[in-house]
Amino acid sequence: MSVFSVGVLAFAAFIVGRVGRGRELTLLAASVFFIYWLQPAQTISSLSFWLPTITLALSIFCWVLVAPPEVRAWGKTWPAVLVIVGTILLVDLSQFLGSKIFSATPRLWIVVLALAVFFALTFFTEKLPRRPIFFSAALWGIVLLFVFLKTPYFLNSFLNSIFTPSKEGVLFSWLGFSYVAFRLLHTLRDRQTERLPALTLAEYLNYVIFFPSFAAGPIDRAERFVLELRNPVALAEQDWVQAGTRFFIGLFKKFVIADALALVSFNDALAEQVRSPVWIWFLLYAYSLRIYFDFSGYTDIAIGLARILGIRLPENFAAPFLKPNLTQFWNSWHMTLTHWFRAYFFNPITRSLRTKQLPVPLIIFTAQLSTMVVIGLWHGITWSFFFWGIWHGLGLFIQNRWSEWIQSRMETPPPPHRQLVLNVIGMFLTFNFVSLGWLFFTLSSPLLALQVLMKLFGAIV
Amino acid sequence: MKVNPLRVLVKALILYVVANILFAIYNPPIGRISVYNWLVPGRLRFPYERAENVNLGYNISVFQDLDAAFASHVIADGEKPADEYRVILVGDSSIWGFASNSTETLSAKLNDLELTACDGRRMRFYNLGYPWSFIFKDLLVLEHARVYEPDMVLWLFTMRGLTGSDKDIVDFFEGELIADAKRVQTAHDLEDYTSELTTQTFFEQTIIGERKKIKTDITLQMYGFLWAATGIDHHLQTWLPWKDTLENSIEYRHYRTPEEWPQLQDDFMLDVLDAAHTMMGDTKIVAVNEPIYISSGSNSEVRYNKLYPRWAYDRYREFMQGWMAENQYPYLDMWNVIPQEEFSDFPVHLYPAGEQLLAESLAPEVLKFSCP
Repeated sequence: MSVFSVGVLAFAAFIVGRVGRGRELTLLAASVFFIYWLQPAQTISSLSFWLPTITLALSIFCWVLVAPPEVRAWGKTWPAVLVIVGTILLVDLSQFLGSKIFSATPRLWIVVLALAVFFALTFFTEKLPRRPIFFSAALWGIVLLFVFLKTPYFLNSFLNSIFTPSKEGVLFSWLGFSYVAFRLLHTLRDRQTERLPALTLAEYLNYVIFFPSFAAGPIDRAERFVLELRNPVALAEQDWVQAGTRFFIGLFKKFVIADALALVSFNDALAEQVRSPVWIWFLLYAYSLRIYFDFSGYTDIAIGLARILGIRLPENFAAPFLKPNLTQFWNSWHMTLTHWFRAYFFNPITRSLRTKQLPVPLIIFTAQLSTMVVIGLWHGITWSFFFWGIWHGLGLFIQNRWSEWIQSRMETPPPPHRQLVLNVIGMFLTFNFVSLGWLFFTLSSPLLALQVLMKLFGAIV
Repeated sequence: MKVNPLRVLVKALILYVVANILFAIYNPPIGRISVYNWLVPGRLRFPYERAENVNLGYNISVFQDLDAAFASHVIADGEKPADEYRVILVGDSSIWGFASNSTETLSAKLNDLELTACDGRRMRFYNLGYPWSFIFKDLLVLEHARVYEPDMVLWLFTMRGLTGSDKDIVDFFEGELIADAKRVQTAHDLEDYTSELTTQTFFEQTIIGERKKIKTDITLQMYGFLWAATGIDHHLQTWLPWKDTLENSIEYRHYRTPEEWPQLQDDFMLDVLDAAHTMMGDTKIVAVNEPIYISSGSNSEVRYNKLYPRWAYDRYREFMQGWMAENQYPYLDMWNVIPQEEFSDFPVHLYPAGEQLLAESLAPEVLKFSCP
């Protein structure tokens, strides 16, 4: 996203935030518009139109599954359908203005036909009785789609089979899908366990494709989001200042600090070229800081924009590099993602292992390692992300055991000055542990990461 | 404390406008703020990289901000040592070393020879070359280089530079450099090479107006860390073996026949050479006719290479020998000292081995010129 794009989003947030009656639908129209507008151009150009359309279709399909009959009534749904169809058609009709606002705009009749087929199918599905198997099928369907998209082997084989790649390769980027998938899975699972509140189509879609957080999170929870949506907070003067401050801090973090650090961030080429371990450490730290400022900058922008819209998004970062141990780091880094995994993966796994009467350390080891590996694979199904997950899983386990051991030997808490020193040492170790982990994250192969790891400690590789 | 957001916004806007106005009025030399020669070593040659290779060469072109270019160069690293005989090399991409690492350019090879000047000082050579054949550009470099107290200037150029083949470089001139160029032109009564350029408007001197330059300067500073970490300042490409076939043509630029020699001669920017000697005062300027690729393939009887037809180049050499002697300007003609296989992608670009040969050919002459 460029500064210009962010500026347009801010302007839209300001306008939509001022709408009183029909706010939900206006927000929905804006979000639908922006998922098309923000979608990057693809090698197969029409995908720039169809990928956001599939995002919408998937979301509507999931809503049909999770929404109870009373909110699915046509009388409550038609305004949202009208807004969605109208916005999609407006996006497509922009081709007749001769403008290039959108990367691709297919022929109108194809779009009309596709929408007709989709809504016919949705209507048919809506009439079907809700069986548990449908929820499971939808859950696994999204997981499988996610696995397919995140596995370079599957995706590249598929793309190369339908498209002759140029030397630049086939560019494929489905903006926001990683986050949309998490939101959909969350609603499907919570519907299964009957914890999901009844959401109208407009509410559900506003939650899934809410434009400030569409591309890079945070991943809110539907029940919390919808409360804010239904009861928007009127912005007091102080709120404006907070929203603006957050937004501008985010801009500065992302477009000044992170983009400058990106120039000197560690990568495959530098792994071969850098001449001394001291410089590798330097560039690795630059990478650590860059990834933090980039991601937390986007989060600040999203939180600031949402605040202007009268919605408080959850925090995603809480000074993670100032935390004295790895557990606290993960409680303050990409917090909404870790909360999601805690709720839908770590806790169920732990509960399941407990029923098997296994030793506690083994339960902790298995749960932490598998959770971190899955979090790693969420970024992409490659060996590099797998080992990144292993690195953090092992780190969390070792830190957990160490804390347990040390606490069992301490009769009283250390005095404040000693605690401060321990915290500083902990911070240093945690930051370095996390930074070393990025080697697996950023380098293209685990072997190269291992070589660099050895170089960092003076080994001649 | 209660804060009124509108007042905050208005105050911020006012501060921003004031900052822009002050920036435009005081025109701070931001290019001189540099991490080079302080946090990281100075570069061995000016920052330059083709736009498409910026991320691979960890470098960016900042010629439009000579302050920044010099601040990043090792020549700006502290005072000149008392025992140093300082020689600066100016010229085009051949001198900059387009086909060489920074430690393999002509100036680096001359440094490797560890020469001692007549007065006993150790000679140290600085690469102040910059791609583009246009000797007026070299004059601007010389003007900036004076503060670094050179004892000698080695000015390597070829006929292209003398006729301003790449004079389009002025289109990239911005801000201060345009003002510098116009000032130098006026001071030395030169032809107007920047007639189509206008000095900056007030708006262009504000932070907003200078945003591109500021971004480029920041990028240059960030790349300084990669320069220190890797020693890489240029993305070296590999070239296919030279195709030794030439067109059957005797054209040089828009001159089609030897009868047009008088007009071609008029294109020679001799006023720039005169200006350089005036500008540098007692500092000796040794002009060198750069080595060129001499073809032996088809049509080599009419052309030396794709740049030069024989008639034009021969006349140029003959003329320059005469003109330099007449003006008592030191001049070396090195046009044929490098064998064909040492040229890379262009008739004046040398591989490192070619730079070595040229350094060895130049060294005895440079030593002679170092004597009073």
